[in-house]
Amino acid sequence: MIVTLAQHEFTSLLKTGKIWKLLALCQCILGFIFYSLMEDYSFKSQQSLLENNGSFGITEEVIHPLFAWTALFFFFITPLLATHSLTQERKSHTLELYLTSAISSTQIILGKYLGILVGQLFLLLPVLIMPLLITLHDRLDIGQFLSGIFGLILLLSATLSLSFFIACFSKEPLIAALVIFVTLFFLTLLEWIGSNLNPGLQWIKEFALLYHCKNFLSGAINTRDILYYTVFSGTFIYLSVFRLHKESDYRSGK
Amino acid sequence: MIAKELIIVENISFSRGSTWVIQNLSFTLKQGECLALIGSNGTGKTTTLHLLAGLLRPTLGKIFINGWNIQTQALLAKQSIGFLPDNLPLYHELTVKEYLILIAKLKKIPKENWPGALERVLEALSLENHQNHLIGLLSKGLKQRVGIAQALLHNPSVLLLDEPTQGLDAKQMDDFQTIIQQYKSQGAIVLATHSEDEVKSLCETTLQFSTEGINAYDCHPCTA
Repeated sequence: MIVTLAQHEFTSLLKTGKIWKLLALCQCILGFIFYSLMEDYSFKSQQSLLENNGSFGITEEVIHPLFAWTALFFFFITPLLATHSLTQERKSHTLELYLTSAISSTQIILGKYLGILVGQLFLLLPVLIMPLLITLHDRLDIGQFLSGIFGLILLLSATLSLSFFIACFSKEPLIAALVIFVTLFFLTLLEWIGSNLNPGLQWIKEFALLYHCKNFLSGAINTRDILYYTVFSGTFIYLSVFRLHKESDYRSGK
Repeated sequence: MIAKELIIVENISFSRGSTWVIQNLSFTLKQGECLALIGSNGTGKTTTLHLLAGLLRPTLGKIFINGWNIQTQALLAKQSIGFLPDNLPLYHELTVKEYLILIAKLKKIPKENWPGALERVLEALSLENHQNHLIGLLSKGLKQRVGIAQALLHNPSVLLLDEPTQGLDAKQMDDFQTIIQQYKSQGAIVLATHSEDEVKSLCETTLQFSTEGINAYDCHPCTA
């Protein structure tokens, strides 16, 4: 049943055309960023050759910031996808199809979650092709590249789980998307807040979403970061299931 | 043979905040019976159907569908329910056939039975020529028929219909009544409607909803 729901979710994204528009937007913006980073890198490396300062890695100079921009860009996309899945279904009453069928809340949430995660990976795929173009003319640090992809996928699954949880509460897709975006922005800001507090309170930045992705982007796979994203995703998926399980109470105004 | 009691409603009450929408409603429906919920808008007909479908939880009382408690054994109870809400749960980006296949999967109809089930409802609702049309492009009447088709697809033993003939023309209404008459022998039907014709031709028992309360007619053992 989970696979059926995931399939339906993904094909629904393809058929409504929403994902194609997002893909076009994603390619335009991240393509432009990639071009700017490449141009910047080219200028810097030429200058470094002239000044005989030695060379520096293209992966660190181009891929790392490209992935960081991608992560930020997905903070805008994820709320739209999550609300398409849950809030829109509640608004158009199609959620009632699931709620009146013999399907558990866990199956509904996991099916929808996986379907949208596949949608996110579908959007991410062309972004990953850009760095591979570099291999035509230069050497790419494959280890750092793969670690960055792994980090991005973990980050996307974590943001999606949080987005799902918030989307579970709302009937208005636009409002839900806005609340999700503000929450994601706040969780990103925690790193900056934590850094500016006295040393005793700096642990706050450990809760920041992007903070744990930095190691992956630099090529270091840290079990603590994996654990953070796994626990984060698991917690919000569980809460979403719990929330949907209580849907009849919610609808009853209890 | 004694017909099985498919719906048992035991003294249910439902409140929204401090307002009681339904108070102390009880009834049972056996196989082959149809109960009509009639009354003006906002008196609790749709709420009653939502309580029976498990979309709402009664404040007090219990509901049993096909022997299963809808609150505590929801997944088992819901296997027996076919539900047509007043707001049609349709995916406009799917064709009629794709939509019905999705419903077949959701209702856990074995794959080998899909063609037969689809053919049966498409034929019964005269949708054969529209099966490859996008739902979003269908007329209101056709959409209503697709909604009825999804409720009947898995041959449920309890059929809950909220204003099923809304948007249908006179001929389609006659066709619908024929389909429901055919279905009636298989299960129990609860029908919320404004149409007196529907009540007369389909249902033996009636619950009249009004702002003052609920009155039961020819409904034994109904109490409200």
